[in-house]
Amino acid sequence: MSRLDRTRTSPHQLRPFFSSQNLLNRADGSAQFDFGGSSVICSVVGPAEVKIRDEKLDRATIEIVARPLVGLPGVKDKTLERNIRETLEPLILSGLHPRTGIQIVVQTMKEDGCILSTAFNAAILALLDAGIPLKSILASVTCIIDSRTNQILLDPTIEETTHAKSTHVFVFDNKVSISSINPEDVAMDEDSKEPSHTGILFSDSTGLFTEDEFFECANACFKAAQAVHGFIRTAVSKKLEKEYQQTRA
Amino acid sequence: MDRKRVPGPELSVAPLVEYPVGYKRWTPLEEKRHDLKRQTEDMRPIYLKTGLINQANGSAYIELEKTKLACGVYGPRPAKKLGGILSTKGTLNCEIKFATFSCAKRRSNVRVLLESDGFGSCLAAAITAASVALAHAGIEMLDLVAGCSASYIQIGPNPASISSRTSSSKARGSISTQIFMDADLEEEKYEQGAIVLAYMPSLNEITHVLQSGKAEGSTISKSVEYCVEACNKIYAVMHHALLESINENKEAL
Amino acid sequence: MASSTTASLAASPAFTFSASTFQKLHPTEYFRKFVSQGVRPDGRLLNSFRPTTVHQGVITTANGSAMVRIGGTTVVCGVKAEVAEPKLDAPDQGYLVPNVDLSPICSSAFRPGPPSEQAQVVSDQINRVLKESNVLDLKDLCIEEGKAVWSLWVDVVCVSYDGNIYDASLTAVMAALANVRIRKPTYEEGVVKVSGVDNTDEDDNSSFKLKLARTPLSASFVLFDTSLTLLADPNFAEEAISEGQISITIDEQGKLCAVSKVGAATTSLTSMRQCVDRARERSQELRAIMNQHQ
Repeated sequence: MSRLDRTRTSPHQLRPFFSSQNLLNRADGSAQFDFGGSSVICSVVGPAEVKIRDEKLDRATIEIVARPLVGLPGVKDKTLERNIRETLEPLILSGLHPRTGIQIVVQTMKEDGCILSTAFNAAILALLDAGIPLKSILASVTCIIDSRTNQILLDPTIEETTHAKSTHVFVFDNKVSISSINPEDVAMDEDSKEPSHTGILFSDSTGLFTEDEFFECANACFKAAQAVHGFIRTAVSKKLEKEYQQTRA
Repeated sequence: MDRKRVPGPELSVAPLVEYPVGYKRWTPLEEKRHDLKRQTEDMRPIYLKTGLINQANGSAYIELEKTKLACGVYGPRPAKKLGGILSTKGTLNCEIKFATFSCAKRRSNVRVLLESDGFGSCLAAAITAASVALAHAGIEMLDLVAGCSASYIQIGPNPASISSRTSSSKARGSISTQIFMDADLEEEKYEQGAIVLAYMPSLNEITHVLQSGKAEGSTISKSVEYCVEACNKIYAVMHHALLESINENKEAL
Repeated sequence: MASSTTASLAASPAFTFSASTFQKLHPTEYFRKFVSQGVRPDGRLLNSFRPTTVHQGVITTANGSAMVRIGGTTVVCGVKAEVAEPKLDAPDQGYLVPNVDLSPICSSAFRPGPPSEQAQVVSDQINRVLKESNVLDLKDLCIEEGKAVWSLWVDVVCVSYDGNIYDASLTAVMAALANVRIRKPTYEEGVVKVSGVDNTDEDDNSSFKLKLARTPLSASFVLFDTSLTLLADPNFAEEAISEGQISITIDEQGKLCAVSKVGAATTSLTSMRQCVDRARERSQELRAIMNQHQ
């Protein structure tokens, strides 16, 4: 089975990841995350002063600003902002910084499908870079169901998305990966053949699909998300190693 | 362009409405109204209900056949300090809004009016509904305020054209001006002028008169009289709606 | 209630408050007491929806309209058809523009001014369901290719807000679209004309209805507390203390049109399955309610 994206051979193959942290020097934390041709840059400012109107007495106020590739933000970007905020807000231990504000700006740099997933991954890397205390780390993967072959294609390009009958975005946190060091050991339910720990943090699906297709997509994305988790882990440990060497030198 | 709404085409217009030859539309030829069931002094039947918005402190819904209007009252709540001056008086903030689908032409985004049939009558309905909603919210008032509208329309063998408000008609002999109470949209197209009146029935005081267009003094004073009379009728409906809401509350307890 | 509380206050030195004060001070604890008994403060079971009514054709100035009430939430949807120029890259396709308005009239939670974030998100969700599930073939809205098409302005006005705006709005939009009647237009030298003769006959030829490929309807749930109990059809108070929201949109053939899960709590696939099953039942009920008023 060949994909429209000629660089990949298997439907479950992801595009190469790329990430770079601490690239904006005026922000408290920043990161870029790429899924092949899609690239999102994200900056974090905070914990800093917040407008009295938005101040929360027991925790930090988290504000997300999403900027599209071209033009001014519209309703789509508002939905993106809401989705990212609702997902990140509970991950951030905002009770440690009461009456402050944390602003996260998400700017699309290159667009080739899966912008929401790329933005999620960029945002979590930027938060890590800014040193904001987090409950857990998330990883996001998008998949589509091809209308011609009925096959699940992970991490689709824009070209592949035009032939999709449905699009699914999933976000998983890393609580599962920590509880079982080896992902193969994740307990499987006897009858459903699903890892019983699969917990969906965020999901957004549109199009036309059956219940079974939805859960197949969830499982495929869950497996792929483990790779993203691994990547984020390496990215952070490499960055820390480098910083440690610099402070020693 | 509005970026906070789902974007549509930049420009869209209502299609031209065409009537076949010989199709007779309503004109104020005889002393008959657009709604044949009504006499000139009749109002449209009023449906008034309180308490439809459960988040609001007080609310009212009014229906005059095709004109439908909902009103919500929120408060009293602490006012924002205006320039640091403390006022001993409260402020009444009023917002009126037409639903985009309420008129023949879609209103681009300018209390919610759901459907409108006639301008004067919808202002009158808004006054009535707002007053009932305030009472429902338990805000102390001198009296309930009822609103009523009337249009002056020339009837006669030579009905004035739609743009008659600006053109002067000289053939006065054959034309008489008739007061149409609570005119609907079709009738308003032929009006020479209109009056909207708000009145406190139990104090017998007029709180607001909005007169537009031209009419003789006698016509105006006559129409004020008619409106006051109609407001007394509306007052009964308002009273009834409020009593009903109290009874419902009692049952609920 | 109030008198019994004062009596107990006098009897014991312990600090007690009335149920409504308790609800205001500790909303989550208040709910927990009910949920542990398998009911909700408004008397509903955990998985039951509030009474729902659908009325079509309530607005005569619109081409199609519907009023939907789900418990204390009331929305009115009006569809107006206007003539517009088609896009250059789609000369034979009309426009379908859904927008939700949450004005200050429906709840003090909303401020006057441009649409709030919540209004924008609901508008976008409905827009995506309509577009990506191919509810309406936009080619049906063509009047003259490349010159004039119908633009359907689907506006939802919330009159009274008590939670679950997405379900109410989507139901209203679908009921209003099913209710749409547009007069057959004639195109002549750049002018689109329709007949103004009132014809209220059910099967007259002077107007047409929309051919809806499917009718997606939704069911929403919130996750409550650390136990992640599913509460169907959340009201305003339940939305405020929820740990996450799940919305399932299903068409009449049982195909899913949209699934969304947002919020703090991670959901197991088992509870997602529960939601889908319950949404299936609910959408059938909703469909029955819609058809009975037609």
